[in-house]
Amino acid sequence: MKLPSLTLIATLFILVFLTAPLFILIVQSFTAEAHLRFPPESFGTRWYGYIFQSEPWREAGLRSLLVAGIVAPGALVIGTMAALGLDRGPGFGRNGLYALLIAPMVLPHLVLALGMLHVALSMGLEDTLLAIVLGHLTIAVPYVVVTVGASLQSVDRMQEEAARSLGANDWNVFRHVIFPAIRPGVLGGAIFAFIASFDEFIVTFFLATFQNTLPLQIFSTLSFQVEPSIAAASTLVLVGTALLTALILTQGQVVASGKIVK
Amino acid sequence: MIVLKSLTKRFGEVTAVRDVTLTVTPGEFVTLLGPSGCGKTTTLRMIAGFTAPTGGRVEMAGTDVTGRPPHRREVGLVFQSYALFPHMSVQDNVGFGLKMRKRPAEEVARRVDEALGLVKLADFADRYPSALSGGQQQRVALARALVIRPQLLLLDEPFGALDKQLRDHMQIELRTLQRQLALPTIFVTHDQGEALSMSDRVAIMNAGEVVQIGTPTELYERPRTAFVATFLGRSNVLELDVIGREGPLTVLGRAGLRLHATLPQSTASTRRVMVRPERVAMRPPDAGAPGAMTGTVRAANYFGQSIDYPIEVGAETVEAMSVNPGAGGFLPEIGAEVDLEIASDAVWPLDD
Ligand SMILES: Nc1ncnc2c1ncn2[C@@H]1O[C@H](COP(=O)(O)OP(=O)(O)OP(=O)(O)O)[C@@H](O)[C@H]1O
Ligand SMILES: [Mg+2]
Repeated sequence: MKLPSLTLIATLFILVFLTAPLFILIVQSFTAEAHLRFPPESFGTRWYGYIFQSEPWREAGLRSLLVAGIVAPGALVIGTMAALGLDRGPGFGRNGLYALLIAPMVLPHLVLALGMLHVALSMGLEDTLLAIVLGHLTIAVPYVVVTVGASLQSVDRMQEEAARSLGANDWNVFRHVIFPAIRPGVLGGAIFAFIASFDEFIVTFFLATFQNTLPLQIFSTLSFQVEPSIAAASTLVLVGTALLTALILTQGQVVASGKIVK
Repeated sequence: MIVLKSLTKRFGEVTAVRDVTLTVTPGEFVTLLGPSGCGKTTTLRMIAGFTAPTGGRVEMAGTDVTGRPPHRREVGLVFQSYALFPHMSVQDNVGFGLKMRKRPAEEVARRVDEALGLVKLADFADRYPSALSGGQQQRVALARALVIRPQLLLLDEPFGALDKQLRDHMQIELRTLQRQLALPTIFVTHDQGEALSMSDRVAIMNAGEVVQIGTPTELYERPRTAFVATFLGRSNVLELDVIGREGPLTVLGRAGLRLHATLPQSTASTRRVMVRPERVAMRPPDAGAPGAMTGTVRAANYFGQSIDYPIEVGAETVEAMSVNPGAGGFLPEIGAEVDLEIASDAVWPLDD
């Protein structure tokens, strides 16, 4: 691939600016010292050991995994059903409903969080896992609606009708025709939903008091002192996110090249 | 037996199908033929259960199935786009209908083998659709529809995407297979040659209505309207004055054109008749046969097996077609005078 030199320079420039902070973060996470400094004078995995041993860090990490682990499949089911309904249901009010469903993607999370706090308080749900899960679902469902909605556009209606004429009921049509076609979209949506929940700070901050999640733990550690544990935790999150994103990308490629996934 | 009774479909203001009544007898091959947008696909979709009719009924084996969902109709469906399942192998595609019917695995395997044998694809069972040619894909689609032993086979322009040669080949294969299985079939096409050569009966549709239904011979020889006459094959549709009678025959004519026809008695002063181009015989001008008329050759359109001649007779132009006679046969030059002879049984009166 050939790029005009100007484009190439611009691309490199952006890449450097985007990756430099990440690079610094990763290097710092391997410090053997007690404070963050760049470049570190000695290296080690001391802070990784620390966050796995420290009770607050472990608890926060596990809770984040638990919440995202509930939110991702939940958003997957709700979002897929919503996307199917929008795609197949009556045309009346479709656009309005779609806008409403994906609004949390564009609304300031601060506004959303404030609203959620009011609802949670009035229902006596403040500082519960349920409130956090529900709050994160609001944020995560739109990702699934968008990705599944987009992949539904590519489903061949003729295939659906062929299946139906061969005796498939609604469920079997979904299972054998629609789902295999939208699988990459569904998987992508689930991963986005997982990441959205795992990363979510503002909504959790408003809804939780003692319930700690990883973003909250990073924040509270940060407000005491700049401890290298933050860099280690962030690096772990970064690596996890990168792996999940790579999964989305390879899934997309498998489909685009027409290869069969078995 | 499949019966359509006054089947009608309106989409808002548009009436896509109007009052279609049709019976398909056991083992019969019926074709719906008509121009684009005349309602062929809509009719098929109502039979398959994908479109709810606005009026009328669909009956199969004496049962009204109008309200029955597609997956409970026992109808085999083949589309122009094949619509194979891309993530399933050929045998899984073909076995899909049996799997939906929860047949035991050995039976599925046996019947899939059988069906693939019928369409001559026994060696392709493990391939995926993306590794098949268009013709092979269409045969998989056919096998997939046949394996469930449907009460009725519906095909919507199944060969539309194939090239001419493969298409001719598939037409013969489909017809042979359909006869062998004695499977009632409704075939949709807008290719008149395909309709004539394959069908037991053809229903000609126009603007949502069946305008005439009959065997290919009936439709070609005795079209009721100018639409049928011109849609199916080529024809001269002539508007002529009734001049008088000669024995049992009526003499029709206009400006140099004289035809003799067997017509029912009527007081009409003009008649619309049809003459097929191949029934217009040309002779050298001095032949002087009785009833001959003279015209001027305006052009010669060469098609290899035949040659078309538009011939000007008075104010009218008559198309004559002659089978290529080879060297030594009579091939008039452009601009030459020729005598035309049209037998009285070649003149067919039209209703409109
Ligand atoms: N879902 C629909 N909504 C509105 N109008 C429709 C719909 N489906 C078909 N029509 C209209 O009904 C008429 C018949 O369409 P149909 O698809 O049955 O034609 P066809 O004979 O199959 O044509 P072709 O040979 O081009 O496939 C057309 O005027 C079409 O625009
Ligand atoms: Mg059609």
